[in-house]
Amino acid sequence: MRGAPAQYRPGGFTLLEVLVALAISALLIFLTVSLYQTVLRAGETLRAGHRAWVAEQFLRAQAYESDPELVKRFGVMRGGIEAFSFITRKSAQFGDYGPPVFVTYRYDQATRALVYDEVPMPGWWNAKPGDFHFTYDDLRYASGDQVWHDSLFTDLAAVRFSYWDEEHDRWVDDLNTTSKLPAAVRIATTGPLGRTIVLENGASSSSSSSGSSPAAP
Amino acid sequence: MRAHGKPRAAAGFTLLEVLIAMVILAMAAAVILQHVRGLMDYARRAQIHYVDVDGMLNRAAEFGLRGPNTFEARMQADHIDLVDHGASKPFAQVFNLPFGGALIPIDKALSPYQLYMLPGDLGRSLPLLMPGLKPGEK
Repeated sequence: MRGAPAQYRPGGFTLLEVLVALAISALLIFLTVSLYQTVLRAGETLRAGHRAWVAEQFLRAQAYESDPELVKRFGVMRGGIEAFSFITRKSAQFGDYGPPVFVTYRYDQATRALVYDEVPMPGWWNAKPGDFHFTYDDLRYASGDQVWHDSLFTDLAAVRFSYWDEEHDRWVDDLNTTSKLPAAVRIATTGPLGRTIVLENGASSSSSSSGSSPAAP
Repeated sequence: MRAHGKPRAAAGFTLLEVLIAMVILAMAAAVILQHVRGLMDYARRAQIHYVDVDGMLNRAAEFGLRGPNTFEARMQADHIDLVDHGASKPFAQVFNLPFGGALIPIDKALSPYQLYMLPGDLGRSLPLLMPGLKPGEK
């Protein structure tokens, strides 16, 4: 009988109906995921720009608060094309009023980031002169709870450090001293958020602005 | 005739209902995307601002490194332009100078404080107030 099969249809969907429903569902899912990813990307863009700005201001303040006396006393400063280590009074862990810290800025090729290492200076003031010794390697490769490690800028193709040579009025790639802070350090980064940052040594600038040398024209 | 007299709602959605639902969803997505675009525009403007201020802070940091013979001083009506050799735009301008009809060499300016303006690329400028040089100092 011709009309008989139609009596069993109401319980299910045809293949066409299922396909259309699947297509619509797939389209909705695709749109929702795209929207979600766009919102995430927008948020990340906002955060990345702000983080880079905060990190940059921290670097400027830290370089400005570098300690020429301790650098001169311990001779543990190092400056090369890929890293710069020095002693400063501004710490990521302790702020402005904690112990002086030995910090290193360096480019990590594995993570493509400008990374930051910080370790508090050992308590040399409690020791008698000559009884307390530590080297650059002791500080640079220290380990333990008090070592602070962070990534300042990420997704960088390259980082290049250079230092102001006051004798020849030019930027150089290597520091030829371990005990005298350069007047300025330049960090040139390349990448999506690449930028050049010139870090001023506060001790140097304060001596020049006092009128002892014609630093200002 | 509807099979077994089922109510219409139980038969599924009509094409019109599906289309209306999709239009509502699309409008909601459009509203969200518009806000996201606003955020992205804000991020781009903020990024430009950061880059401009970054450039001015770099200039300020490099300012003290300049030697006296690395630039020219050009007298203007109410200020002095400091221009790099071979450049046309000044990298800084000096205000608060004691103009008395005489051209005072820039390294002999006697103002107690001189206001240096370091221009940015976007029309903004960064002021630096620095003490003037004492007579006879070089």
